Amino acid sequence: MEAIQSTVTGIWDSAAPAIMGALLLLLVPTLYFFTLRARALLRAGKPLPLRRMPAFERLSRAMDAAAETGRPPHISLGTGAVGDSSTAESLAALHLLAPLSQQAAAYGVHPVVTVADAGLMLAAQDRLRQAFRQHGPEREYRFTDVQLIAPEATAYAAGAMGMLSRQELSGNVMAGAFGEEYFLMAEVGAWKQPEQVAGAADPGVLPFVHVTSEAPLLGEEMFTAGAYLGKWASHIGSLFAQDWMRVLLILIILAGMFLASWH
Amino acid sequence: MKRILPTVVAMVVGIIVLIDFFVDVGYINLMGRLFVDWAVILTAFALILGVINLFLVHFRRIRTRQKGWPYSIILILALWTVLVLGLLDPAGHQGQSIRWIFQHIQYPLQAAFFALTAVFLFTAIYRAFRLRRGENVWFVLAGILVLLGATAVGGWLWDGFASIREWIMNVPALAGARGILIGVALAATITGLRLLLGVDRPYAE
Repeated sequence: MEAIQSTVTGIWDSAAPAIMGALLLLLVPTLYFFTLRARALLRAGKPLPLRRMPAFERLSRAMDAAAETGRPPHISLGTGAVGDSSTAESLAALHLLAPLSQQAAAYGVHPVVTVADAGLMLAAQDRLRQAFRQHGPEREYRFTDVQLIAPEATAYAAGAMGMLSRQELSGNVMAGAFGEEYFLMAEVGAWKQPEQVAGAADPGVLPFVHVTSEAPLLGEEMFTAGAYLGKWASHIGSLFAQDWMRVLLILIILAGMFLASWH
Repeated sequence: MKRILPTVVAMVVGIIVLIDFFVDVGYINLMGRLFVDWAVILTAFALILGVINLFLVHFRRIRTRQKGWPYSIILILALWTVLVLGLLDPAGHQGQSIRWIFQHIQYPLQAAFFALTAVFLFTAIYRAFRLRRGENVWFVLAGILVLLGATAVGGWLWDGFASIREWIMNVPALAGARGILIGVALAATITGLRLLLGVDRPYAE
């Protein structure tokens, strides 16, 4: 048994890049096919086969509350960056920011967007400027609406906590890459702010997300903002492609289980 | 052109760096490393813009006397103090003065800050009990069992709590975490792929 395991491990180690490459090549046509399908569904005006996500309904409500009260929402894009291992989570946070910015620009609301990375700050400023250009008067855009609090996670959390406890906001949205510092910020947000929607992908942070947000975005759910809020065909197609790839992975895991038990 | 050029540059650079991960070809490896080095230099420039942003945000807060504006004065003073000390010291950020600031101000403050976690945990447990969601019953039950299995009180009450804790951590918790990780990995891969294919353009303008 040990010999078989070491052989399989050896094969896997040498073939891992090739398997990953094959998976990527398989994903390209899958993504393309499902994006076309999503586009056809959107054009036909048919209802999208997406399950209900209370977090996104709450996000829209928070933006409506911002328009009614004149209080800005706080949108934290996490302590991650663009260009390191947290890039995917930071991009997911940017995809969440885009439709919220569009809504804010249409309502004439200036959201307070905070980041812990200068590269992410520039990307967020770009999203916000585009939103004001397309959905509101461009002159209303202020680059200081996106604030780099600190490039270090603890200092960022301390700054965000101060903001959440002092400033009168319509809600607190937290999505992106977070570590332990998430809990400190989210606790203050949960006590002080009327609405809190949070999302994270790190399994170590998810229990805290669960208890500090009435409608959490857990794991991959954080990556679905473009599909739910933006109604972008490529993002809806991505969800379909992910579902199919998940089925494939489940079958591979089951096959592995069967082979391991059989030997 | 304004939209196409950044997309093409991002696609080409991204694909070369990706190919560098898969193949061991001299010039591809060289180009991959070169692009990563360029990214590091660009990030340093972005940091300068970040510091300017930080300064302007807090300067505006002081000027308009927003709530908590005295904290902004402290922040700007601290920013300039560390910057000037770092520039004046021949050893730069490795200098004695900067090291003193980190050892005697920054690190103790960080430690004190994270000590708040213990207090906040109690309020979070209270919140977990208060949230009226079906799955919270399981959430709280698992939490109590793991807590009993990890503390001396649990061992004193019943020695089986340790085995239950081990089972919870190794079977349902680990299986759940792996499921989440697979889902996140798929979502992250597709996010990256959309970027490489030029479908998503966070750099559009």
